[in-house]
Parts: sequence; C-alpha cells; structure tokens
Amino acid sequence: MGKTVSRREMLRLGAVIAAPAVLKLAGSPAAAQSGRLRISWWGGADRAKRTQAAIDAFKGRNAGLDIVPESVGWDAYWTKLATQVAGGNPPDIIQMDYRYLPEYARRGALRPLDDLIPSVIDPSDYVPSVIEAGKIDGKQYGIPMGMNSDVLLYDKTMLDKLGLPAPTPEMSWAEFTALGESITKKANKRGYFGAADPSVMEPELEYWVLTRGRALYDASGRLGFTRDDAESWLALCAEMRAKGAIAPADIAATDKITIDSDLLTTGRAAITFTNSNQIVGYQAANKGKIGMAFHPKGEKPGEYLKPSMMLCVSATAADPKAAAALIDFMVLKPDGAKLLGVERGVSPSAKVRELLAGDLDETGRLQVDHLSALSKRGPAPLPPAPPKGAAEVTALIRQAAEKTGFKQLTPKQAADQLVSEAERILSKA
Amino acid sequence: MTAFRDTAVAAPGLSARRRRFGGWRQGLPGYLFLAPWLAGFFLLTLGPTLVSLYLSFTDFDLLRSPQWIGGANYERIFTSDPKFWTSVGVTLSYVALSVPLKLGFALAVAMWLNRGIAGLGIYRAIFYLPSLLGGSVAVAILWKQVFGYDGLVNQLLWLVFGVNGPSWISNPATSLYTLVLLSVWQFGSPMIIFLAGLRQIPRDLYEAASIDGATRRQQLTRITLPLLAPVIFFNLVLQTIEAFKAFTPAFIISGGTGGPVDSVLFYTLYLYQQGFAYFRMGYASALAWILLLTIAAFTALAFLSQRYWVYYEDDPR
Repeated sequence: MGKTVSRREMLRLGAVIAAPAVLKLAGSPAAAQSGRLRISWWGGADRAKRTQAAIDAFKGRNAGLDIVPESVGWDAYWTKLATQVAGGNPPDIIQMDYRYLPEYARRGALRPLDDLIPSVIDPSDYVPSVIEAGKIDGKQYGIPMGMNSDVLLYDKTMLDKLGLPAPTPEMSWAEFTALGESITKKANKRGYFGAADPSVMEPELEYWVLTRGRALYDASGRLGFTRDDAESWLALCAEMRAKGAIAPADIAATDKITIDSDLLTTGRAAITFTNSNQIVGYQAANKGKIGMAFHPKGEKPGEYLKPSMMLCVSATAADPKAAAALIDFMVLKPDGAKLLGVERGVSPSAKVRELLAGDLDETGRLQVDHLSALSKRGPAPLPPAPPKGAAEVTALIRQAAEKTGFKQLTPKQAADQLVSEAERILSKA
Repeated sequence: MTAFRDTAVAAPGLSARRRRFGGWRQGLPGYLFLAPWLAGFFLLTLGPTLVSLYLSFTDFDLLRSPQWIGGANYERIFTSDPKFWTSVGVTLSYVALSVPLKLGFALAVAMWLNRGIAGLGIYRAIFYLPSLLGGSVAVAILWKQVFGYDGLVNQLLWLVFGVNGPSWISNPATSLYTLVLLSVWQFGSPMIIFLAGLRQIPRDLYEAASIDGATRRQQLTRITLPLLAPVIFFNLVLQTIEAFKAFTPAFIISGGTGGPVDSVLFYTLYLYQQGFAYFRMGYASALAWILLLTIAAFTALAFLSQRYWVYYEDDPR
C-alpha cells in the first residue's frame, strides 16, 4: 500500500460508515407516508389470497394509492407487531385480536376512530355487543371484521362411515364420552381416537368454567375460576382419556393448536374444538367433509358470540382517513366484503350478512346457521378481555393438562398448582 | 497444533508494547481491512449487547419505555421463578449428555476414517452432511417424523420386535433424549476437526510403539489421546457453547412451548418465551446475561483445566 491513510481521513470514513445507522436511530418516519398504506394481518394462505384481492379492488378505485400488505402466522404476528410499534414503525392498519386490544389501545399505539364514524365507517347495523367489543374506555379503537364462537368440528365422512351419529346440541358430557368411545372402538385404528384432548386448549377450560357460572378472568383482571372448577374439568378429561374417548397425552402433545397440527387434520381424531370461522381452513386442509356442532351442554351457556378479529388504525398513521376508508371497504362495502367472504367469521353487519347469504358455500352456511342457532339458544355474555399475563396462564393450563395426562399429578394436584401459579403471575403482571 | 500455542503464548512484554504503540500507523491498512467487521461489531453487536445489559435492570414490554427497577429481574429469577430452574435443569442435562456423546462419536468415526480406507473423501462428505443441514428447521421437522407416533423408529420396532412404541418426541420421559440424539447425529464438524488432528500425529510414533510391543489400546491412550488433547479441548469448548445455545430443534419440536411438561424447555427457549411471547424484554435480557456469564464461566473452567490434561507438543513443560 503506497499511500497511508491519515487519521482525519480515517475519522471521515468512520463517519460515513456510522451515518446511516445514526439516521436510523433518529427515527425517520418511514411508516407514516401519505399515498401509501401498510396493512398487516395474521393468517394462512387462503386468508392472504382473499385479502390481497380486496386490496387490489380498493386500489382500483383509488388511483395513486399504494398499499403494502404484510402477513404472518399468529405467533410471529404479535412478536413482529410489538417490535414494529416499539421501533416507531407500525403498519397503518393493524389486524387486532380482542385479547390484545386493551393493551395496544391503552398504551396509545392505536388511534380512536370516533371522529370517522359514521362519516367514513358506518357500523350502525352491527350486532351491538360486537361493536361494543371494539371499544376501550369509551372510545372505538377496533372495527370487528366478523363474529365467531367456540365450536366442535367433526369429520362427517368418518362418522358416516362408522355409522355413528353427529354430536347433537343437547348432548351431555356423558353422551359425548360414549360417542368418543364408540368412534375409537369402531374405527379400530392404532393412534385414532374419538376426539382431541380439550384440556390442552385454553378456550375449552373457559367453556367449562362459563357453564359453571364463572369466567377465566374477571373485569379487574383477576383469576375468575376456582380450584374446584379446574379440578372437575381435569378430572372429566382424565376420565374421557381413560375410557379412550379422547386422545392420550403423548398424542395430544403433538397438537400445537394450529389447523395443521390439530388432531382432526393429522388424522388422529374425529372431533376437535376450535373457532367457528376456522372451519374454512379446516375444510381446506381435510379430505373428509367437516361438520360443526355445539359443545356438550352445561348448566349455563358457555358459548358466546365474539369478534373473531378487528381492524385498527395505528396512532401514527399519516392518513387515517384513507386507512379508515380501506377498513370500511373490507368490512362494509359489498365489493370488499364479498371478496373476503366469511373466512374471518360471519359479518356483524346485518346488511353484509344478507348480501353474502346468496353466494355462501357449505362452510359459510354452516357458520351462519350455527351462529344464528346460538343467538336463538342464548349465548353467554362476552367475557372481559384477558389481562396482561394471560399468555402465561394459557401455558399453565396446558401444563396442568399434560401433567394429568402423563399421570405426573392427580387432577386435584394439577388444579391446585394451576390456580396458585396463575394467581401469582396475575398479581405480578 | 502449534497454532493454538502461539496465540496463547503471546503475552505482551515491554518490547511488544512498544512495537504495538509505534506500529499503529503501520497497522492502519490492516485496521482498514478490518473496518467492515469492526463497524459491524461495534454498531450491530456491542451496541445492542450493552443496551440489553441496561434493559436487564428495567421493566420493558416493548410498548412503553423501559422503567428502571434495579436488580428486581435478577432477584425474581433466582428467588421466585420455578420455570427458570426447570430450564436450567433441562439445559444442563442436555449439555452434559450431548457434548460427551457427540465428541465421543465424532472421535470414533474420525479414527475409523483415519485408518486409510478407500473412498475416504466420499465417506467424509457423507458423514459431514447432517452437520451442513445443521440446526435447521427442516431437520427438526424430519426428527419429528422419525420419532413420532407413526415414525420410522416405531415402524422398525414393529417390524423387528412386533411392539408398538410410544411417540418418543412428545413424551416427557423421552423427548429430551431424542434431541440429544439429534445433536449427536450432527457430529460432522467436530469429526472433520478430529480427522485433521489425527493426521498431524506422526506415523513413526505408532511404528515405534508397535515395535516396542504396545497394544492398540495402549497406543490409543498413550499416543493418540495425549497428542489429540488440544483438538479435543478445542472441540469441547466449541460444542459446549453450541449446546448451551441450542434453540431451533426444541422450538420446532415443541411448537415453541418447551413441552410436553417443559421436558425440552431449553434455557434459550424460555428466554424467547419471556421476551417474545410474554413481552417481558427486561426479564429476558436478564436471562440472557445470566446465560452469557454461565457460558463464560464454563469456558473459563475448561481453559483452567487445560493444564491438567492438554498437552502441547512444543510445550517446554
């Protein structure tokens, strides 16, 4: 090397290298750019296809508007969203779950939409309890996209083949257990059982405690059920497991609460427990025909109508009006709503429901029929949104189920552990 | 194997210090060439590392700005977090099982390959293949298939013994062992290093030994292992660090839960859960620093133990 570099030149070089990083730290508002909307959602391939179609249609009507879609799976979604919000780079339109709405709204990450209602978005014909679910501290932050409810899905083709009846609305847990047993016996296939193990799923414990007049959490974020509630549930599942009506623990452990790993999809069980709108995804992933049913009946109603997911506008959105217009297009305008269909649940708007009624496919019709049957039968009221720390409690619920499943603890011991651990977590969260 | 010794012996004397001081200008081109790496290190590694040290003393959920809470995270970790101890137990068992097994297996294969068999290059490539696939997602998924309910292992058990095996991967009694096996199966990179080390041992030592009537076993314990000690040491340190950091297989196989019943709740997985599932970034940062210090302590221990078992050829000792 002929020429040596002076110290000053070295410094200058250093500055050039460091400059872009410093600029980035200073936080150039890359997100908030007018003429460009970023929309982010969780979900699978089918949802991505439908959403993209709606976006394209909206772009067609708004020349010069650029829309950037971002979609990932449920788990990664929340990690990504939290990071984006923390980094000051959130998407303009955020698909939001009821569970996380209070957290994001109360921390100022979302923009209240009250000033744009009804001028841009008009949800006046929504089911009242569902539009209410998008409100936090009296302000409308979320526009629900659809309604769903916790249901049983079953492999109709398999039950027909075995000559067994579908679960009925008035069925008791004892009858459900008997049905599960007959499926297991008649199918007589190694590793195939009547039903998936509901005890590993948080919403199923919720169903159980609701039928006993309690809830997972109360309005102030404390644990809403007792040791006795948890013990009776774990004991019921242990009994069903012992009789072979539901899958044993080592098979239940492979269920990661996704459509792909669900025991119905992996060919391990004929009945599973999930949200009604997911029948679209289940039917796409399964060869047999999928049916929908109510849970075994309890003393009180345990199924309720809930907002499947909402759309929110970020607090930093450069053009909230355009963002709200896209939301309106997707959930309320005939063209947009038709493209999305009922994949995100049944519309809470009477007009849209009527509009879609004509061209519903089988999975759509099953959802609509089920939810209207639920409305007639009297659903449970919508429970308060889960508090901070609920994600850990969900993990504890699964843990308690696995500990009873693998016979490491009795239902009583596991229930005691679950309740005391959950109380500890909620008090610290 | 002199390379290791050279770096270890470079204790800066007085002359060395003067040389370094005066040579700053001369060394400049070198630093310039290093600049991209240095920039990366200072901006992308050191900065975030220091920030994470700060965050470990805060309550930070990504949405609100961090709140200083002193040593509360550390206190909670050590005094009232049973899952922390579970994850420590799982990780230590994994390290204690997978490192010796993997090194032993890698050494055995390397010694077999070193006997001068035909087609060495092909074997070497085949054995190295699993390591190339490494800790990848695809391999973890493959493992799930192999040790699953209808997996390859159970099909073999059925064919050979006529018994129905359990789902190895989703059973708390066996799931960790399947991950240990996965790690042992990826023995390729230590094997290649062992093979290189074996090649460096002079043939005449073995010849002399066999003329003197030494058995194979004696040759192994008196010649091969002592002369290979620096390489064993190198592999030991590297694989231990690797094992402490293991994440992907447990994440994929348990779907991020560490289950069933926390049986594969690796430390890194628990750290990930705290940070990215429960949004306790401060807490997760504290966990990360404890991991860093633990790995540093184990590495230091390995270095300190060197004088008792690692022999360098040019050692005057």
